[in-house]
Amino acid sequence: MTQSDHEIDIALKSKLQSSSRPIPAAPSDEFSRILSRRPSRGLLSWTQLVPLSLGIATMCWLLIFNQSSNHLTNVTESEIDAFVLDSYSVTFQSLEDQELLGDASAAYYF
Amino acid sequence: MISDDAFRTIYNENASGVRAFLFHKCGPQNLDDLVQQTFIKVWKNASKFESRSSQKTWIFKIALNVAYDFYRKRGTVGELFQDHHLAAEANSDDKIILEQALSKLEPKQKDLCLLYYYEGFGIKEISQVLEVPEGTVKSRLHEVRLILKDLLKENS
Repeated sequence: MTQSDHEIDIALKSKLQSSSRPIPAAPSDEFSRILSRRPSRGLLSWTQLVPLSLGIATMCWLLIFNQSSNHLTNVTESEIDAFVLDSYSVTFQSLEDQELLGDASAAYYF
Repeated sequence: MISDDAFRTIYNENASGVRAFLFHKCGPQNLDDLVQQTFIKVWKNASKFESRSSQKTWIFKIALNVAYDFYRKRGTVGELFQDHHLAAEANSDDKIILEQALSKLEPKQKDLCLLYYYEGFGIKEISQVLEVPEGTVKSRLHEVRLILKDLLKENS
């Protein structure tokens, strides 16, 4: 800093500070106001809680959807046929056990 | 998180400086609220303070960001040294000269002017508050001096 810079700084400081309005005094209870405005510790605010809940819900949905789609894509046609036949046989066995169907009617329904 | 006692010490050491800074930066309206916002942020972020800069410059950096947020929410560019800043009772010639001189400065130069001439910060401290290299602070200060020197000479 040159002598000239130093002189400019002094002149400017003096002019700016002498022309400045007085700073309004702080409220006497300012510190306690600050303490009361602090967010409570350990609790999530709504602005944090809502996106967090949405995120968890999306993750769960993706997990369930992924599992069910994997299960469906891994099933073969023969497994589906076996499942259908099993269902029929169980149904007829149940009806026969209850003596509701004879052989002929069973054949009709089948 | 810091204890209430430690926070009180920080508040006692810095409240008046922060208040003066925010008054010069944003004016008297909302001043109490801005000071309180600054110290709430100080309290919330105290555990993140890494002592790479002094505590004072760290707090003033927070205050500066609070001031920027204030102007962003209002949808205006931060204008220092407006009517709120210059005293009505100040010498009218001085006021006119200063208003002319300061209106020539860009916002970044005004921030520097505020920290250097009003708050009495040094080059290193200003570089920490404004997060620019010390060389940038020096060159900006040189530009500010040139602008203000010419205007003050014209009017003296």
